[in-house]
Amino acid sequence: MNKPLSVTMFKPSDLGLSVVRFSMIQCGFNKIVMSKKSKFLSTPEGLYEVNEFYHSFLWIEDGIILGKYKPGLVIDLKVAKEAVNDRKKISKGAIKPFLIDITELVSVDTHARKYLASAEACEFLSAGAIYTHNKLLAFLGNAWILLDRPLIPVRVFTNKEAGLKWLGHFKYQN
Amino acid sequence: MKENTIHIKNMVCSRCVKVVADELKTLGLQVIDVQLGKATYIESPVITNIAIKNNLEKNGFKIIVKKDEQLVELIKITVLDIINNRPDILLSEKNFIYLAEVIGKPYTYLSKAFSRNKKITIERYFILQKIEKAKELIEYEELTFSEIAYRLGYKSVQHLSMQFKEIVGMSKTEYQRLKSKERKSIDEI
Repeated sequence: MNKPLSVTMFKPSDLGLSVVRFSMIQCGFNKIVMSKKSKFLSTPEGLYEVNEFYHSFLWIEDGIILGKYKPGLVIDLKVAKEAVNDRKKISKGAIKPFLIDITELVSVDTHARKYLASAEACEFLSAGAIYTHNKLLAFLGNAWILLDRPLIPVRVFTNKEAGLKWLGHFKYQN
Repeated sequence: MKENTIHIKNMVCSRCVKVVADELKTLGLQVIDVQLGKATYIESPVITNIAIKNNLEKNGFKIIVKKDEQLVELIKITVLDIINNRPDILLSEKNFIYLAEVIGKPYTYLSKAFSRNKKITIERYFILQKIEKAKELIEYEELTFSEIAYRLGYKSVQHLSMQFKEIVGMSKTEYQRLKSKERKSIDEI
């Protein structure tokens, strides 16, 4: 039985509520109930403060940054830099592990791939887990690790729990 | 009733905290707080210090009285905390800054006190504990050796390989092949 919850979301001013709602559903959040002031979202997934950015949803769960790219995202260098900056805002200068769900991702170009493996993109990260249940994306993720060699340990997971367990080795334990 | 704090050697994990608390309670003491390296309780006129000492010693702990020894124990606990729980500190290469900050004394002071008491440097103690942690992580088989090197703050897997061989006396592969792996208790390092 999932626990009831509410999620606080910071809505970008240029996005309509219906777009936010649609995006959340597309990203796997279900049964979304918006409050009258539309500052809170409830889902049966857990109690998290979900931060919505232009390209992704990001939140922190038990010392791990979790993220989900928005459906249909095409990552070029500009988008990659913006997505990294968004993630750094969540990190707030602390080194943390990161799990990103890329299931709805469409493509990443060469410049973006190189950038995402760089020191700048890996700043404030202790390790990265790429999660997808799409076999082609998993293959491409592994190819990226092999070819571009990110500066931090990165693995591709088709099971989210396994990814979180692995990341547990790299997180600050209270 | 008067509170008393004792400093205890060889407390290295949360289980040690539980054992110490249980032992003090078994004696009938009112325990206020137990942390790694120390315990605070309300003194009792009927429970002698010798009884407390004996109860702790039968579990491998030792009461430490000397200030220098207390400081060394605090350094050991902080080093273990960094290695086990603070990969962020290891990765940021701020071990010694963090150590001095947590304990609240200059690193040179800590270093001298530690070397005087333990006959090894803090740096060497760090390395020995990191290698023990590497052995533990190898046995879990959840991380690759490169990932273990990164997790423990090594610049490269070669650096860890070299230190591992120097301290354990065999390579990581040879260690993995051993049927009975020799692990040291971290309080014995």
